[in-house]
Amino acid sequence: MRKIIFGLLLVFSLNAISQTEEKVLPDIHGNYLGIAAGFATGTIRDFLTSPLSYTALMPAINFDYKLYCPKSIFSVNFATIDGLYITVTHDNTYIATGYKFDFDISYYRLLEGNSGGGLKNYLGLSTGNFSELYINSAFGNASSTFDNFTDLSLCLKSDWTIIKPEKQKKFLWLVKYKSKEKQYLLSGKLGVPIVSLMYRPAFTNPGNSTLNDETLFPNYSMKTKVFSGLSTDISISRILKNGNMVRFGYYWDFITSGKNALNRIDMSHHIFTVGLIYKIN
Amino acid sequence: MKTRIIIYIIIFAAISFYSCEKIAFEKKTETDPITTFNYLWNEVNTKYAFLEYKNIDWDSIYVIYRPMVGSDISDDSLFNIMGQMLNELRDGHVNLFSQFDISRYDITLLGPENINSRIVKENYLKTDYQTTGSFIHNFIRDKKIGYIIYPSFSNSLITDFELDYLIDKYAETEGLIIDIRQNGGGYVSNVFKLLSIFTFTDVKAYETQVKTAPGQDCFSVLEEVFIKSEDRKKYTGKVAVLTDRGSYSASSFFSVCTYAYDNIFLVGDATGGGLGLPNGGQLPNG
Repeated sequence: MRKIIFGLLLVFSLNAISQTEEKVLPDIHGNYLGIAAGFATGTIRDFLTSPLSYTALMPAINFDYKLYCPKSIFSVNFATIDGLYITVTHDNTYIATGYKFDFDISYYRLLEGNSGGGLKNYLGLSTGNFSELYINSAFGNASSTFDNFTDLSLCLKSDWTIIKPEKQKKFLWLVKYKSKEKQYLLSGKLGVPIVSLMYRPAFTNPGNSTLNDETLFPNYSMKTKVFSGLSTDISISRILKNGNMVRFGYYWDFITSGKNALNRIDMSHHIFTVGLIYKIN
Repeated sequence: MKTRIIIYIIIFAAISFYSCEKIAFEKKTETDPITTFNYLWNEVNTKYAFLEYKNIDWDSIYVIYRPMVGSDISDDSLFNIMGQMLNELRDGHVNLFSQFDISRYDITLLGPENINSRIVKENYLKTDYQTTGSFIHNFIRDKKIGYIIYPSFSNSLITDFELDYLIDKYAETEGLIIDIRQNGGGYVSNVFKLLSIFTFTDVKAYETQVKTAPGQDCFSVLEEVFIKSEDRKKYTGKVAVLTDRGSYSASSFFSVCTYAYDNIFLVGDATGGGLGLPNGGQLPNG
C-alpha cells in the first residue's frame, strides 16, 4: 500500500513540476487541484476539562480545488490534521490525541476598483465546518470530547503576481549563468467568522469514556457565537511554465467560545505546508 | 524593492494577527497549591450535582480545609487534604488521581458484603459451573433455577451469543437468580443489553438530567430513558436480583431499572449507589 501511495505521489509531483518549452508565462485561470502536506502546531485549552493549555504537534494534509475566473474565485478545501497534544507540568507530561477535519467552501469576487497591475483584491464569503475528536485519558470519564464548529466568514483576499525578470548571475563569483524569468503568486487571505455555530459539551462532559449510546453526547449543546476568531492564509507559489504551481503556505487561525461561555474553549492552529497545485484545464 | 515591502507588510500583519490570539485567549493559570485547591473546590461547587440532595454545605467545607493548604505545602500533603475534602461528598465515584496515589471513598465498607464466595461455590456453583463471557452460572434446585453471577459490568461488552446461550440453557427453568453482589459497575450499555432479554416491549427505566450551569438547581429537563426490546430470544420466567452495598454504579442502574419489570425483584441489602454519570477533568498542577 505504501509503495502504491509513494508511486502515485511521485507520478503526481513529477507531472506537476515537469516544464514545457513555452516562452509565454501562463495566466492563472481555470481549474486547479492542489495537494499539500506539512506540519501543524497550535494550542487547545478546553476549560470544561482542564485549565492547562495543550500544544499540538501534528502532521497536516490538505486537498483543495480552485476555479479562477476573470472576476471571481471559487474554492473548496479539505484539511485533516491528526496527532498529539502535549502539556508539561512540574512533575509529569500529559499526552492527548486529536483528530481534526476541516471542510470549507469559498467564493470571492474581484474588487475591480482596488485591483490593478499584478495585484487583485477580492472580497468573499466562506462557509466551513470544523470537527475535532479530542481524547485525553487524564480527564477520566470526560476523556473523549467532540467539537463541531460551523461558521460563515467574511474574507478579504489578495493575489499578487510577481514576475522576476531574466538576469545574469554569477555562481560563487566565478561561473556566469542566466537566471530565467520566474513568476510567483503571492496570496494573502484574512477571514473573520461573522457567525459561528458551536456544538460541544454545554457545561459538564459526563461518562464519555465509555463511548456508548447511552452516555455519549448527554450534555452537548449548539450555541451561536458572533466573531469567534480570525484566520489568515499566506502563501507564495512558484508558477511553472506548464501552469502548475509549487506552493509554500502558512495558515493560522484561532477560535474561542468567549470569555463568559460556560463551555469555554480556546484553540489555535499554525499550519505550514508545501504543496503542488495542478492545473487541470 | 516593491516585493520586499509587500513581504514585510505580510510578515507584520501575520505577527499582528498572532497577537490577537494572545489577547483573546485566557491568561495562563497559576499552578501553586492554593490555586490548585481553589480550582478543585470550585469545580465541585459548580459541577457536582448532589450537593443539595445530600445536604452538603460546600462553603463550610472550604472553611475547614482551605486553612490547611499553604503555598509551600508538599504535593502529597496537598493530595491528602484534597482527597479528604472530596470524601466529604460521600461518593464512590469521586476520586483524585496523582502519580503516587488515588483517593477514594470506599462504599463497600458502608455495609456487610453479604456474600461468601466459598459458600457460593460449594453449595450453588459447585465444580461443574460454566463461564460464558463475564457470566458464571449453573443450575440449582434440580435444574429448576438458573444461578448466574455477574461480577462486573466492565469486563467486556455483553455479546448476543452470550445472552442467547444463557437463554437457551435456562429456558426451561422456573426462574433465574442474577447475583450482582460486589459488582462495582462498568459499562451502562451492559445494563440495557442484559435487561433487554426480559421484555417484549420497550420499558421506561428511569428519568435523567444533567447539570447545565453553576447554580445548585441548574439542571436540564428530565429525559426518559428506555430499555429497548431488541429482536432476540427472551427469558419469560421470574428473576431475582441479589444485591449488597458493593453493588455500585452500573449495578445500581441495573437495580433501579428492575423496578420497571413485573417479573424481576430485588433481594438483599441496599446498593452502594453511584447513579450519577461521573464527569472528569484535570487540575492546574496536572
